[in-house]
Amino acid sequence: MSAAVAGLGTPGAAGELTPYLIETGAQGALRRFARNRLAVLGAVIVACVVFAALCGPWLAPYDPINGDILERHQGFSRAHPLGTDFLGRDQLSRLLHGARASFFAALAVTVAVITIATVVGVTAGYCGGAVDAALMRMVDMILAFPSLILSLALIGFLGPGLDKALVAMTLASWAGFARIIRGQVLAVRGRSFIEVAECAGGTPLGIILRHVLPNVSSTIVVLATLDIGGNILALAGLSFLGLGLRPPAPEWGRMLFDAKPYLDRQPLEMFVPGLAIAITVLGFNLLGDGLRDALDPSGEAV
Amino acid sequence: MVGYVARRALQIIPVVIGISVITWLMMSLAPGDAAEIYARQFAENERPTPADIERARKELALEGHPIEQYLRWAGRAVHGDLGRSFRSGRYVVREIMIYLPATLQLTASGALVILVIGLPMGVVAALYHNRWPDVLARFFALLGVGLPSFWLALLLIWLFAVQLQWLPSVGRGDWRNLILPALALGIVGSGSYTRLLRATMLDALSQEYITAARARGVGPAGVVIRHALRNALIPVVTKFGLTFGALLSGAVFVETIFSWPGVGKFAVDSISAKDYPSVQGFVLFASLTYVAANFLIDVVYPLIDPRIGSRARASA
Repeated sequence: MSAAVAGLGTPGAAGELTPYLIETGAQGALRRFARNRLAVLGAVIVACVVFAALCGPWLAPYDPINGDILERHQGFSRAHPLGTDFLGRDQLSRLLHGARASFFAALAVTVAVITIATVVGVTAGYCGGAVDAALMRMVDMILAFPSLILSLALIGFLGPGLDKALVAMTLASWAGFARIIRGQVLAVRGRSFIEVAECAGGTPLGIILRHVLPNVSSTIVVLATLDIGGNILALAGLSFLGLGLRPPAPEWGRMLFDAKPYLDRQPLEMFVPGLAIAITVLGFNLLGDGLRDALDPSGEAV
Repeated sequence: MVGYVARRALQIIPVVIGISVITWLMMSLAPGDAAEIYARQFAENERPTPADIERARKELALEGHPIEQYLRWAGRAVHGDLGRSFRSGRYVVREIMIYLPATLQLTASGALVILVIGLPMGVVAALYHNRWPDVLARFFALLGVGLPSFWLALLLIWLFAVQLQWLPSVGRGDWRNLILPALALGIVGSGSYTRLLRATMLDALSQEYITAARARGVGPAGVVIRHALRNALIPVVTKFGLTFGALLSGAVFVETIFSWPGVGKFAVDSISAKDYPSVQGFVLFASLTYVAANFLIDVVYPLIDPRIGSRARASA
């Protein structure tokens, strides 16, 4: 991380551009992104999390599930860089294995949410009329619930467990994104190139795939990035309440839950997973904000 | 104005019907026969007779055509009957009424924390644009957005209850019990308000009417409070509806951690015990309060924003 921070002071060629000139295209977006220090920091954090999620199990020095009970509640040490928990399990190993669970679960929810939201949003925005009205009333109904409360209630009926938590989170959070994407599609639909494509005899599906989707893709990318952070947070929260990943599977929210009774004896057990969650969520938020500023410099969309 | 409020109130009706349909549909997600689970809770040795199950099915409004089932369930709900808790056997609405005051006290205190911490920081950040108070406020706002409330709660307990031993960490008694939960709930929401108010204040301070007010000889405090802040607060008020939902959601975690006897803790206990009518009651209560809060904000909004007020009056 320090290398990236050191590199921030040297904007290079990008620094010579006047701020009043907005470049278009991918290169311009990339340059705007590289100039935004917080966005680069977010990208670095996200890269670290993704690396931990992919390679964590090979990097972890110990078994995340079976610990040595005689070595419980240890602080920093060479053998256990981040200490051990109440069962003597190595915190670093649990953190690395937990990164995999948190990241891929959050990613799965985001992919599902964005897919549903895109299909609904594009259908409503492109078709308009009764289809639009019906779909948006459904969206309104779901948005009448605070999304975390809706997913909690759904888990109440589906039962606890990771798969059910993911289904509940997906069902509870697609509606808001569908509405945003619909708004974007409406804006695109009114532009003349869509009319031209329609006059040229393009089929609706072809027009959607070739002309509508590419124009809303930057919105979708920004929403997805912000959503992954939110999902990591929500999943950690559900596991903290005992409704997400089942023990003894390593998961960050569960690690916090396990640390709670030992706050007075070994607060390190609570600092480590909490900090991991906070930094990860911060990283995805910074990256998402940076992508939004880079992809949409006029600040109109999203 | 009356017409505007009435029209806005009419818009709520389909939303409330939608909420009730979704809440009712949730029962069909439950694995197994809810009537059997219900009957088992109250039968001797947990072995209900077929007659017990039939009685339970009737009590849960689970017989007949689905539309008939929904109408019967909704009809009872309108009369304040959401069935009985699987755990305690008491009426769900009565249970929620017992836990409700604690939750309202907590969410109101959380909102107060946002008012006391989040908003002043936004104003100070805008007034000291790009100087150290601004940098500090932006850092706070950044942290506040990603900080998990359940971790913040643990940090607060560790610092104030374990290390300093200033405040109690669990239960609900006098005002000292309220401080930590309210902080845990409010600080997380404060960051986004600091960010929003900073932006709207900066925008307001650059407007021509500020220059005009200064030219007329209005003092610095008058300019900031009467002219800039009043206009900068308008978008903040609309955001509050959303925040109310976040406070209700956050209360679920905060109440669980601090053993605060509120609706959120009731909900988590109900979910763990597969107490379906209680979960339904909780989600119905939470979403209806959320809708009501947003309605109130829409009604208050024209009163503070003269432009919208006159438009609403004109169209009414």
